[in-house]
Amino acid sequence: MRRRIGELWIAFAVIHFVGVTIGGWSTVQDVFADGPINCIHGDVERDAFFGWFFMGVPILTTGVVTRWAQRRTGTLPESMGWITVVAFGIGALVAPLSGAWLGIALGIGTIAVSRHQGRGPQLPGDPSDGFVSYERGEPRHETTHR
Amino acid sequence: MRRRIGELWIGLGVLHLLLIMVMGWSEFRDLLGDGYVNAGETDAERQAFFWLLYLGVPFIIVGVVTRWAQRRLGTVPESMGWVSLVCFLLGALAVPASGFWLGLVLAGYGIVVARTGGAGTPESLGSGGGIRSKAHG
Repeated sequence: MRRRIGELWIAFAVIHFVGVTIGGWSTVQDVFADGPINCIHGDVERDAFFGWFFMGVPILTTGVVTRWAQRRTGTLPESMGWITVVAFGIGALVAPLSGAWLGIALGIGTIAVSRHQGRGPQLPGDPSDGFVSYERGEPRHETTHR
Repeated sequence: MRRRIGELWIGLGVLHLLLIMVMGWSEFRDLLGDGYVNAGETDAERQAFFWLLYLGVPFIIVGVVTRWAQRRLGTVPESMGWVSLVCFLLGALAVPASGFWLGLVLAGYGIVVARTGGAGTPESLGSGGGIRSKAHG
């Protein structure tokens, strides 16, 4: 089975959006009651909520690009994994009660994928050796003999 | 010349980090001065500063993976451009006096690059058609 790092990033973003919306529900209600245009100006609480909420956007974008790239190349850059681990490590120190730990796990997953060329553990009866390439449009199972 | 979407995302992330750090310098000093462990979960003002500053980090991660993908495959996914375009538009509506407009431009540019296969304009095309693929090393 292909290791789905891109999909995991997208899921991370969705969890983030849902979690932040639930966590800041009163602020969400206030924002919609006042109208969403120019709704942050001058309000520290809304500012904090918005910065926190919007963190999900680049996470989602990372997921979209990562999924697309992994489907075509079968792997990911190791540098991305290390940057993610360090960046979310700092985030976890500053805000221990946050989803930064999930980001660290994703970074480690990215490093693992890049070191194993995108192959997951081989399942019994799976001829593809865990790797499916979409490089030429159609899924193409690749078999390697160990 | 290859259109450098990944590098532009990294640039956006770095610019964001620098600007927020300069604009909230006193807050940043307080955050470091008080010890940064658990520093983001104290008062609302510090939380607002921290999350706004930290927003630059995933921009850089987007840039790293996009740069890598564009160097290997010669283009970027159009879906990436649309997702970021919609999100930055919502951001720009909520906070009009912000850098979201820069993100909107970058998202639009990403769509253009995806539609033209990552190649530059005809005038700027070299022998590689504007793409330098490093797919095979």
